[in-house]
Amino acid sequence: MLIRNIRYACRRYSQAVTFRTAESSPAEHNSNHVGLFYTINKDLCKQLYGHGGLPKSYMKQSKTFAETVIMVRQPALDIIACMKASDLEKPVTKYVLYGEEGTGRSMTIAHLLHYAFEEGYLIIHVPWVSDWLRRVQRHKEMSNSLTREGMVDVPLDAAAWLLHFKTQNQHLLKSPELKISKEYVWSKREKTEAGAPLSELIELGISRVKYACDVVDAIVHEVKHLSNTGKFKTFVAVDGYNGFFNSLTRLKTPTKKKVAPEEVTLTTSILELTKGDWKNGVIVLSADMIANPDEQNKQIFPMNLLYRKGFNHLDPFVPVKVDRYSEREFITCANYYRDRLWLRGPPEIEAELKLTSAFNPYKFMEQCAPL
Amino acid sequence: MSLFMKRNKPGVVFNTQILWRLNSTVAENKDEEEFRVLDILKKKDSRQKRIVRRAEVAPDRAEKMPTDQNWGNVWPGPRSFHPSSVPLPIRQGYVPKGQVPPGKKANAELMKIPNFLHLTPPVIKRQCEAIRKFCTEWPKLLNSEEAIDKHYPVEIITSDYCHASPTIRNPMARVVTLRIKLANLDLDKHAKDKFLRLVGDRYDEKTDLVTLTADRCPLRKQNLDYVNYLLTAAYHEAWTVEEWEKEKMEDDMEYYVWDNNQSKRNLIDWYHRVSGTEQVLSDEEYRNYDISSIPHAKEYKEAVSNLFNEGESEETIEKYGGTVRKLLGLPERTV
Amino acid sequence: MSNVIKLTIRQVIPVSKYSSCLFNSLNKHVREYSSKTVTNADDIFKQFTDWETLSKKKTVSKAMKAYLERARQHDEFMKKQEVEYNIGKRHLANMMGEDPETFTQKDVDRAIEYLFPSGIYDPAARPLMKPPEEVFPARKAAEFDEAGRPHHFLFYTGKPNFFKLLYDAAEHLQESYKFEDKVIRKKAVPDQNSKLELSSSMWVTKEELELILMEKVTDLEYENFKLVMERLVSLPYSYRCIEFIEKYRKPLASQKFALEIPKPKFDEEGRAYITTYECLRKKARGDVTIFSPGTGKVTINGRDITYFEDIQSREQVIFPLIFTGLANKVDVECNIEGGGPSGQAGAIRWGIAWGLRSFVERSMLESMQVAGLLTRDHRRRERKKPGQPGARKKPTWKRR
Repeated sequence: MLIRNIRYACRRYSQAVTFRTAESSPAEHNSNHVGLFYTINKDLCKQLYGHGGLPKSYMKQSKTFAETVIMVRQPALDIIACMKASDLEKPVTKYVLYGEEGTGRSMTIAHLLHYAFEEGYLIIHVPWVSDWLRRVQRHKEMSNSLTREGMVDVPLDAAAWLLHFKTQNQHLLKSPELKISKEYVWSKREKTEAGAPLSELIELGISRVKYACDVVDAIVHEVKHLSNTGKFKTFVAVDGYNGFFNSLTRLKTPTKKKVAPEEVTLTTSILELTKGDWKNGVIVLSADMIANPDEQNKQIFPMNLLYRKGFNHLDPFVPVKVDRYSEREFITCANYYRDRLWLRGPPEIEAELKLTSAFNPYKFMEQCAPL
Repeated sequence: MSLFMKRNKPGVVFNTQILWRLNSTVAENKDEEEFRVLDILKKKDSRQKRIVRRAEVAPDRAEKMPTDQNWGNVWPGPRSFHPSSVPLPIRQGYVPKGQVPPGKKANAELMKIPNFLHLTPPVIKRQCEAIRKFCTEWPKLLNSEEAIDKHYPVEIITSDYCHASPTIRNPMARVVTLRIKLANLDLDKHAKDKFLRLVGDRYDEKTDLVTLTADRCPLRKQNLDYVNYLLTAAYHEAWTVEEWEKEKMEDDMEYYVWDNNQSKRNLIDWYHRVSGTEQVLSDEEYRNYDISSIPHAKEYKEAVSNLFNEGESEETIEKYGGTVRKLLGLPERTV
Repeated sequence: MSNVIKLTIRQVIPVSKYSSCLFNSLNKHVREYSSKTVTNADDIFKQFTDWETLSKKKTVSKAMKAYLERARQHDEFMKKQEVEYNIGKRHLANMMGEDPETFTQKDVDRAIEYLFPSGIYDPAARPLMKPPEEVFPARKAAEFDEAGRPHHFLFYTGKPNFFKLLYDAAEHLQESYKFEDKVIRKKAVPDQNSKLELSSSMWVTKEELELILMEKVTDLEYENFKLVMERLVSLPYSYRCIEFIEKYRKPLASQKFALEIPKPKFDEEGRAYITTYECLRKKARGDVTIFSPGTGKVTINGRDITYFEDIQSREQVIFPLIFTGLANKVDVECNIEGGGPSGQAGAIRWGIAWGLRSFVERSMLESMQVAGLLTRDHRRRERKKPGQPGARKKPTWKRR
C-alpha cells in the first residue's frame, strides 16, 4: 500500500513536468499554466457540479480516469484576468463564450465556477437551459402560473434548480447577512417575513413545489438587491443562453398550445438577472448552437445565435472565443490520455489523430475511445 | 485379286474389275470440282430448273471515284449513308471476340447515324468564303470587355433549337433572358434598395448582374418586349417614393442605423449607471443624445454597425470585443 | 511372301465372312500395289500399275484441294482489303482536305469520329476504319503443300508454334551449358555485371501468348512455358539469349511512370505547386492543388478538414499524406462538388496521391501504387433491373 502510494507520488511528480500542474487554485493560474491539467478535489466536484455543470461525456471520462481534471486554457484565463481587473462598483460585465461544437465552452464555465467559488462569490449557475425548455419527458409537469397571468410554470425543474443552488452555496448560506428584504405571501397561511434568512426561502421552495418558480423569482430579486447594496458579489453562469431566444419551446400547455420561451417564468427570472442594471457581479454566458437545434446552419457566432432580441438585451457584452486546441495543448492532452492508458499505440497515431480530429477537443476524445 | 482368280472364274472377275475401274475414273473426272452429294429423293434436278439467273450488278460508283475529286460535289447535302457512294472501307457493329465487324454494305447501324459527310472541312471553308461577302467588320474600338460593357450594357440571350421530330418548332425557343449590371443603372441609395427589393432573387451579388427571364408569351418578340418593359418599370418604380414608405419600421431596415437602435439605449443607460445618475429618458432624447461625452463610444458605434451591416465574421466580432473591452475598462485580450 | 501364305491358310479354313476378308485383301493388295511391293504373281497386273501411277500424279485429295483453294482465296481477300483500305485512306484525306501522304491512323480515327458521330458507349461498337491486319484475326498461312507434306517440322504435334518455342528454349539452354563448360575449361569467371535484370518486367500473359502464337494454349502448357523460361533466365549466361527472352517479356506499369510525372510549377511566392484536375469518384468532380513547402493545412472548398463530419472521409483524405510521410510538409487546397461525402473523399484522396507523385521518390511511388492510391476507382452505381428489387438482389427464391 505504501509502496503503491510512493509509486503514485513518483508518477505524479514526473508527470507534473509534462502535462499536469500542481497548482489547483484557479486564482493562481496564469499563462505559464496554459495547456496543463489541474485536478479538482472530489468533494468540491460534487458540491459544485453535483447537479450538472460538466458535460455528460466528460463525467463518464472522469469516472473512468478516477479523477477530475480541467485543462487551463486561454479563454478562461482571459476572463479571470478581466474579472480581477474589473471594478465591481461598475454595472455587471457580461461575457459571452462562443465557438464550435466541442471546443470546451462548458468546461470553461466549470473552470470559472471553481474560481468564483474560491473567491467567495455567490454562485447562480444554470447548467443547461435546454433542460428546462426542450427536454420533454413523457409528461412534463407544467401548470399555469399563479402569480402571473398567461405564463407557464415548470415547478419540478425549479425545485431541482433550487437544490442545486443550495448545494453550490452551502458555505455562504450559513452567513447571517443573507437576508430577504421584502415580505412574500404565498398563501393564506404561508408567508415569509422580511429579514428572514435566504435559506428559509430556499427550503420553502424545495418543499412546496407549487411555489418553486415564484421562489426562484424572489431569489433573483433578492440577490440583485444584495449585490447592489454591496453585501455580496455574485457570479452568474448560464450555459446555452441562446435557448431563451428561440421562437418556440417543446413545452405545450394543457390545452396543447405551444409555448414560447418568454412565457415560461423561469426564463423571465434569468432574463431579469442578466439585465445589467445591478452591480457587484459578473455574468458569463455561453452561446451554443446545440441549444438551437431547429436551425439548419451551424452557427458559431453569438449574433446569429442570440438573434436581434438577445443582442439588444445583452449589449454591450464581451465576446470570448473558445477555440480548438493549439499544438501544445494537443500534445499535453495526448500525453494525459497516454498516461491514463486511454490512448495506446505507436506515436505515429498522434500525427494521424491531429489531422482527423482537426484539433477539436471533443472529437479527439471520441476518436481515442476505440483505440 | 489373286484370291478371286483362285476361287472364281478368273476371266469374269478380271473383266468386271477393269470395267469398274474404267467407269470410276470417268466419273471422277466429271466430279473433280465438287464432292459427290447423295440425293436420294432427286431434289437437286428439280431445284436446278427453278433457279433464275440473278441480274448482273454493276460495280459501285465508289470504285470509280478518283482520289482527288471534289467531295463537296459528291455529297452536297445531308443524306443518310449510302454505301455505294462512299469510298471508305468503314465497318461498324459489336461482335464477340475473334469476329470481324460487318462491312458497310447493308449496315443498318451506319445508316442510323446522322453523318456529316456533307460538312467536311473543305466544304465548310467554301461556305464561309461564300458568306464572307455579307459580313461586316467588327468595330475596332470594341476590342475589350470593358468597352463592350460601356457601350452595350444590356445583354439579351435567346436560344435556337434544331432537332429531329415531326415539327420544326421548339417551345423552348421563345425564352428570352435579359442581363444587365446594376452599376450601369443610375440609382441613388433609396432607389437602389427599392430596386433590389423589387427584383429580389434575380440579383446576383457576386457578379452584380440582374437577370430577367421571360417565357410567358408564346412568341419570342413578345417576350422581348415584356422583358424590356419589366426593366423600365422596375427602374421607374425604384425612383418614386410612396407615402407609406415613411412608415418603415426598425425591423424592416435593410441596414443598421445605430442611433435608432436599442444598442444606443443600452450604452446610454450603462453610462448613466456608471456615473451614478440613473435617468429615464424618452425615446426622442435617446435618439438625440450626443455620445461624444462617453469615452470610446464612437468606436463602439462603428463596431456594432459593422457587426450588423456586414454580417458576423471573426474580424467584426474581434473588433466589437475590443471596443467593448475598452469601453468597460477591461484589459485587452491576451492571445 | 507372307501374303501368299496367308491366302493359302484362308483357302484351307472355310471362310464365313467372304466380303469382309475379300475386301480387306483387295485393299491390301491395292495399297501394296501403290507402294510397289511386287509379288510373284504380279506380272499380269503390271499394266494397271503403270496406269495408276500415271493418273495418281494428278490426284490430289478433295480435302487438300479445298484447303489450298481456301488458303489462296484468303490471301487474295486480304490483299484486296489492303488495297481498299489504302484507297479509302486517300479518299478520306481528300475529303478532309489533308495531305494523303502524311495521313496517319490517328488522323483516320479522328476523321471518322468527325464524319460519323456516334453516341454509343462502347468504343468497339462505333464505326471504325482500320488496316485489315488489325481488323481480321490472324490466321496461319497454308500449313502444308500440295503433296500434303507440312511445312513445319512439328506440324503433327497439333501446336507447332508453341512446341517450336519450347524447342528453341531447350536449344538455348543446351547452348548455354556448352558455353559454360567452355568457360570453366578456360578457368574464367562469369561476368557478374551482365546478369539479366528482369525485375521491371513480367512474362506475357496466356492470352497474349495465344495471340503471338496464333494457337490455343492450355493452362498446363502455359505453366510449363513459364517454368522453362525461368530456367533459362536463371542460368549465368542467359544474357546471350536476351532477344529471345525479351520477345516474351512485358514491362510492368511502373516503367510508364517516369514518362508521365508532371513537373511542379511555381506561384508568386515561389512555392512549388501541382494541380490535378478531373479528380472523379462516383459522382464527385473536383481539382486538388498541393503546395510545397507547407505546414500540413488542408482546405476543402474554402473550409477546413471539418468539411467532412465523419471520420472515414477525413481518414481517406489524409491517408496519402500520412502514407508518404509528407503530412506536415505540404499544404492541400481543393475544390470539389457533386456526389456525397464518400465519393468526394475518395476523389480528393486520389487527387492528393496523384499530385504527390511529383514530390516523392520512385520507391515510394511504387509502394503507393501497390497500396492502390494511384488507381482511379471506376466503380459506378449499378442500374436497378426490372423485375428485381435492386441491382443484384432477386425476389425470394422459391423452389416450386
